[in-house]
Amino acid sequence: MNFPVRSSIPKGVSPPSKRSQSPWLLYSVLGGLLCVAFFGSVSVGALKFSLFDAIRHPSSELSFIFWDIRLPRAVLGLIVGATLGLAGAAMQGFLRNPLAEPGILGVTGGAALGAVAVFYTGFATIFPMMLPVGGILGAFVSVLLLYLFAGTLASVQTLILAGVAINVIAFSGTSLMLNLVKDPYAVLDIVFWQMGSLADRSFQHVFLILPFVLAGWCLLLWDGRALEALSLGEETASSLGISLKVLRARIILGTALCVGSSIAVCGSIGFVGLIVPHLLRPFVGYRPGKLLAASALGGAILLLASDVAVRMIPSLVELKLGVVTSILGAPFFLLLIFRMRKKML
Amino acid sequence: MKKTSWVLAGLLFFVANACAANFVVVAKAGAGGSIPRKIVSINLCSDELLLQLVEPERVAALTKFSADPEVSTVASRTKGIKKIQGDIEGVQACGPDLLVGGRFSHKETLRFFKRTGIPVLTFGVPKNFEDIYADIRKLAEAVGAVEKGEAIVQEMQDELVKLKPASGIKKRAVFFQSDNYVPGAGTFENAVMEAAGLRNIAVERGIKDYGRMGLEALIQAKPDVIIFSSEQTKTRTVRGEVLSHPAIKKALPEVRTVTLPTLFLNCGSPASVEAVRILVKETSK
Amino acid sequence: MNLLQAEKLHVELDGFTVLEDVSFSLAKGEIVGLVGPNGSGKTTLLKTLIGALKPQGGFVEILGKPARDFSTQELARQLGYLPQEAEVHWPLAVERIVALGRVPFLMPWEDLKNSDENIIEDAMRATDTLHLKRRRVDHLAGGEKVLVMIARLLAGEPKILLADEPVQGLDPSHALQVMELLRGVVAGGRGVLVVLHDLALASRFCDRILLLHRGKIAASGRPEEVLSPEHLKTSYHIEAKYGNGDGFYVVPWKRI
Repeated sequence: MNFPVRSSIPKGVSPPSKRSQSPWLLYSVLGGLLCVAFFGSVSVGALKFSLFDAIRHPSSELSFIFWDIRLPRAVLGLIVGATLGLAGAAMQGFLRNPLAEPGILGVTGGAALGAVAVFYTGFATIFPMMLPVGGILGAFVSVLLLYLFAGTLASVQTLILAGVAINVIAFSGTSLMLNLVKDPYAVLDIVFWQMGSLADRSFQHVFLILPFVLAGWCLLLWDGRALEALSLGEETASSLGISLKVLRARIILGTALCVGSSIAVCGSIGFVGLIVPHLLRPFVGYRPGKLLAASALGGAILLLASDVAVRMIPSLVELKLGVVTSILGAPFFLLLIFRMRKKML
Repeated sequence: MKKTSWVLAGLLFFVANACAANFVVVAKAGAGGSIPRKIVSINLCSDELLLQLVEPERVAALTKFSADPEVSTVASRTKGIKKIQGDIEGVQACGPDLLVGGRFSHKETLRFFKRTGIPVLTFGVPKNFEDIYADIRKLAEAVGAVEKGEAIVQEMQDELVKLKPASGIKKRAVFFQSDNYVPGAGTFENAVMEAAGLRNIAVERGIKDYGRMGLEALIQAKPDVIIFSSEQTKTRTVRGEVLSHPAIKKALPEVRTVTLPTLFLNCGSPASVEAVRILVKETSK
Repeated sequence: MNLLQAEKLHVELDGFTVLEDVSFSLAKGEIVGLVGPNGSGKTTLLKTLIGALKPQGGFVEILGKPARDFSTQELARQLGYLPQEAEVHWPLAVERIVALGRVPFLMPWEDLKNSDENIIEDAMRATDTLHLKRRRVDHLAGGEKVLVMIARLLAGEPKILLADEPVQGLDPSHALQVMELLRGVVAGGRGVLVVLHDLALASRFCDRILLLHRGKIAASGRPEEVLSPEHLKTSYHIEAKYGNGDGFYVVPWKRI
């Protein structure tokens, strides 16, 4: 029996009977937290004003700030956060490895490369839809490469190494392309693509990616039961009627669609897909299928909260979002690896 | 023994050369009395100033940028003049008797030639029109065109006096740049804005040099005029996306937007007066 | 009509012929033991029967219909498969594992119905694992875990059960419990094909035995016929002692 991660419950303590019983309790708690985070996100900004004032006076500049600056930022934060949480849970369920997530494994890197390729060559000005498509293609190639390098049920080392390789290729490619752009200051954009940001995003960005994100979400959420069956291994899942080929196609396509388009408008944001599923797993009885929707909610909460932190931490330059998620996520990642090492020894 | 003496001689030769390089005297500009005839410029801004002051025959080399009409205000005058990168060998090949450059680029080249005795002139970035006048005069003296230099300065000053609007209520303006940067007090952009009779909102907020202004703050400041730099609105960058954020047009439907050609702001030169002219024209409508 | 019929199966893997001319049948109510030395192709045969491997020659019929005419889901409802060393990748609760047996009967968006819950409970009761319902599967002992896996198998109510070495590593008590369970299962009209290394258990609990040697069926029939001294000598290179108190049994004795 191989469990890559030891649970935090020591042996002998009573089993988590209460936790796995009511998913609706979990969803209500998460839903409540999401509302709080969303409200927090639209309330934070350079200007302090009451939201009621903004809504009651539709042509005041407060109203425009609320509807056209803060609201799209919060909505985008919700969408991207949910995407990253969901994709993380789906990848972990499919690869049966709790260290899998789009950032570590190079999917966001590839998406950024694809988006950069479209953004700076002018394609995106002619056909705005090309931008998320570029991100999707980049993400798609990354996931395919990952699968080729590592296969399913690869060891942790192989998987992470494959991710490192893909990330290196993606970063080099992105830097190269930015250096080739005519504007000498374009290279400064690399900070956005590497670290991600929700600043000054508008509803144009939201509507640009919305159809792709929704399609991706559908494909991933559809796989809940298949991922549960996969807990018993590929052969058994297959004998239970799960078509592994179709499942793999849906996971690859679904991940590419929602992650690719999200990164195309927000840059690379990592670790959300690692932290959220890990934290929520005990609350859904470790069921990979139930984890999907919960991780979507959790991811949205985490990203919105991080975006609030970005605006509240006083600094000369507004912190990039990916910095906050990395500050949270990298130590978390190291901790996970450390615990795994202990278990293996 | 013969071998050792050859080695010693070689060593001595090497050491002597190295010492010689340190004892070269730097001649002062114009000390010999003759005007420089093979002037090399390795900075776009000094390219522009140079071509205003001397005939093209006296220019041995300019930068590659000087011929690009999108960034250089003197592109049409650079025909037939050699273009170089700015590296030491390239400059040496021209045999210059005067080297002109900017303080912040090709530092190695400038440092090298300072030691060889050739007159080297470096220019900083002008923060206002007075700096430009000083730069023109400095270069004019070095190339022996003092009168011409004065004439150019006088012309600029006259133009600016003509352009400056009669005192009245000054319009409030902000120069919005990529990544939310706004030039404040002590920047050339600010000098241009003041010369056009505008009040810089960034200065109102106490910003010195280049500061930042969030979109929300921009809207709340309710500017009469928003100025953009043409290069930043033209080329697509992520940092430049904020310049076309829909909230600006929505929240400030009556704001006048002016896009200044980056060309006239790149360098402090007589052409910079064009920037003032455009601003005055657009904001007095 | 037989539950399962295999005709002249020919399976190659990586250019090697693993199964050659394998034909056999599984009838209602019988346990067939699949025995043979390591590497004789037993696991490959099971994987071919569930459709994980495609045979290069021959065919398989389930309930009289060719296996390839079944959709993956229909096949999953008729066949239940328990692989060797059943793995569980997440520390799920026992009742969740057993519930996975119902997957072939649920659409992706459907939840377990009351009827499903009842079947799951019955399966756990039959395997004596009901008291372990809420326990995490990684906290169970080896024997309990196998019983849970079998409960999962039973929860699917398959007509045909294919089990690959289910008693491996179990103590005698649990091993016997598993075999008795399988006997009980076929009493209801199902069929079981079980791969076994333990010839004693095979001789005691199987109605028929298939002896696989180097990819071919060396012998097929009642345990007394198949586990004869000549067959054991040719296939396993061993000698055995035989007994007949309370039924025929075989105990491997010596290598030859």
